[in-house]
Amino acid sequence: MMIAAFTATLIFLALLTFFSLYRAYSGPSAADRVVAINVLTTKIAMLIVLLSMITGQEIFVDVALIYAMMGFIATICVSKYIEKGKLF
Amino acid sequence: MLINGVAIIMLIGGAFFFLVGTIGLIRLPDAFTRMHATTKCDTLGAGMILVSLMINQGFHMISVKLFIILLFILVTNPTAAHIIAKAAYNSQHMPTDVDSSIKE
Amino acid sequence: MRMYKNITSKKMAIPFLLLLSFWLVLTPNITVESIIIGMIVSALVVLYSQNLLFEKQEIPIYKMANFINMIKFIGVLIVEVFKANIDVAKIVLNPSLPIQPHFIKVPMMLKNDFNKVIYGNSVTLTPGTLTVDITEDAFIIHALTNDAAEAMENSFIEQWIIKQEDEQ
Repeated sequence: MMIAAFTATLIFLALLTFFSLYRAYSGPSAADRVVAINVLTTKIAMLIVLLSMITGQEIFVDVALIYAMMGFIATICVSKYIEKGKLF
Repeated sequence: MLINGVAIIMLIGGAFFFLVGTIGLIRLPDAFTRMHATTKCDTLGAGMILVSLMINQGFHMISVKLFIILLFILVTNPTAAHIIAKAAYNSQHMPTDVDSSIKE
Repeated sequence: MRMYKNITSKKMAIPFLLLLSFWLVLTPNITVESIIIGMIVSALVVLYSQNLLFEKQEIPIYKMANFINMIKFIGVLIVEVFKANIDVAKIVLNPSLPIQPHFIKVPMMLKNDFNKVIYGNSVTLTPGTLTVDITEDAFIIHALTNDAAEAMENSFIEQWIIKQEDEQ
């Protein structure tokens, strides 16, 4: 029963991810796009965790951890670029 | 059975808050207000889904890893929002329809 | 070798133990070899990034009393996060979208960097407010509604942070 619940949540989150992608596509300013990408990262990390629970492949939890870290670093880099026009 | 019920309620709550965050991301008018919706709702939504998975797994090594992801998201999500807001506030690409005057 | 001068100090020990426990969590099966490799790698990271790690007086969690205080604060904060989310849900799902977005300036003198981080992140997670910029003597905060802007004054986070700041 729990597997079915996890699968339902996973499908729902995947649909929401596409709706967030709409904002990344049509955001008027660069900041809107960064917000959308940041949201996408959190959602996809959750998708990976749920997938690891459904398939029983426990190594995917590590993948989700690293994915969340990479998303945070990417957000910082793009924000610095928007603010200063260069990274450092 | 009771544990499964609690886990499913947490899952539904997490999915609901993710839904609210996405609706806010699409409906609200400018970048700063969109950030309000996404930061709060994503932090709580991810937290609830992770707590639900932790309850489902019980006392196990996976739970510790999930807890580390939870702590990480709890710290980095507001920080990322702050960085994006600061960049949008200081940059030249400030959205034109935002009232940037500061009220005391 | 200036690098190895204070290898046994408390300032070095706590990051080392944190890194080692993180390594042990990520290791699939704990054997003698993996523990030894973990200790070597953690020691190298701590030695190499010595000047990036915090000074001792910048981390108030190191004391036990502060740690318990912190746990209580996090308990109150979680309740606030739930309230904030229900607020946002009410606003977003309302068809007429009742928002009055504006910037406010909250005067706040915080010397400690760690306290600045806690205050900024807590403000972002509480109802209707978002930290935008930190200047020398004030926080610039974006408020979603007028009510949220008024609630910023004398909030529990502000009282807690000022108490922490006075104790040091």
